[in-house]
Amino acid sequence: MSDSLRIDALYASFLDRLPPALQSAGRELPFRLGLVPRPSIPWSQAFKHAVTLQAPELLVEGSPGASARLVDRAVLAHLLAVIEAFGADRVADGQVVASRELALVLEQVRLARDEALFELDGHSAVELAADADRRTREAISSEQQCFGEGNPVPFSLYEAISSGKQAVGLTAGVALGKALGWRASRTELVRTTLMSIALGLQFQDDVVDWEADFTRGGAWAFLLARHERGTASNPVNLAEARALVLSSGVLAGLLRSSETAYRNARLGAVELGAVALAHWADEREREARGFHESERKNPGFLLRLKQLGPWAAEVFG
Amino acid sequence: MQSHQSNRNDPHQQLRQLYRSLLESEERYHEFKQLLALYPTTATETAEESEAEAVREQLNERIRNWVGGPFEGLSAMQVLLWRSIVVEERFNVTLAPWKEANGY
Repeated sequence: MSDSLRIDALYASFLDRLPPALQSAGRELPFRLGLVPRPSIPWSQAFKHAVTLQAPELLVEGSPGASARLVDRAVLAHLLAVIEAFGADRVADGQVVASRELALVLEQVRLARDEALFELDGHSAVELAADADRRTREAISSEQQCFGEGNPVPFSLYEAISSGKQAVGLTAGVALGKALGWRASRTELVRTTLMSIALGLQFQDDVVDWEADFTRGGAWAFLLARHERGTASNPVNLAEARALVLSSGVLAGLLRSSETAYRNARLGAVELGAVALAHWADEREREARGFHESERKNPGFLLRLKQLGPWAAEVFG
Repeated sequence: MQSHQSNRNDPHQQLRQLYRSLLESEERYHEFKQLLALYPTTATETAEESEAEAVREQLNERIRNWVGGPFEGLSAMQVLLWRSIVVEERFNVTLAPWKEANGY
């Protein structure tokens, strides 16, 4: 079965347990969370990188004892955790409306995730997930507070909050490692590798999305730029904020941090023997290095690359 | 020399040059977008009013300036298509650009 069919089959197994009244919302969740432009597009087509939904499988590549059943449970738990995290984040920052129906679907997502985690590592995994939920909620709350205040933010605080937001995405991989009987140092390596992947993706996302985030009420690049430039005045419109952010060099700095995170992910994957993941992280590391160079020379480069992407795809095929 | 000349006259290469120049400059990108936004959506290939034609000519002239050489110019249909993608953010769903856009 191909990766995309497998992802959609696993998600379908979750849909099967939903009450009829929530089936439609559950099926259209990628669309309702604003991740795809049409209700018919499934989760397998929502993201560019397979690692986003399938990280646990990539981490245990070639490991003896990693049965299809265990890996399936881990991938299901992981993809549901990621989906729930996207939902919570997008509700918190106002990208999607917090309807009762959406809240009920996301609650079901959490329950199904916990069931899959329980199969992997019993109560310990479920408790770990609850703790991760708490840390992620706190991080999202801190993020909203920072955005609301609009004060300058040092990179260390941004990194701490970003790390907190990733907590929910680490649990399934760690639980799978425990289910396979890995020693603590190896499951810790799984955790740090997953964290590095998540931060690499997050830092880049905060570069390409900063203008949209600013328009919605807050953007990390803007708060980091205020800190970098030590500006007392608070720009009120996007044009002023753009001038500040582009002249501050923070976008290039975030891409440098992304490169570092991918390097750490690559080293972790190599140590775990996860060849395909190491290869992916190596590609991302090189790409981030190129983005960093282009951003340094031409501030705003990566956002323009994103904005011109559909046009370039149409013109160049 | 011949190859350099043929590159300069190759419409595909000219568009590549335009793409690079837009990626390299925030000002150019915004001017490009603004000129596309000024182009009226009511224009068609066969019925382009003088105001629309003037905007298209201005855009073609700016592109010639940005790519630093000959550029055969965009048709009314091309400008309309580009406008719909860049300004109105309508895109070809089969190309799945949202995957690039969300970064994950």
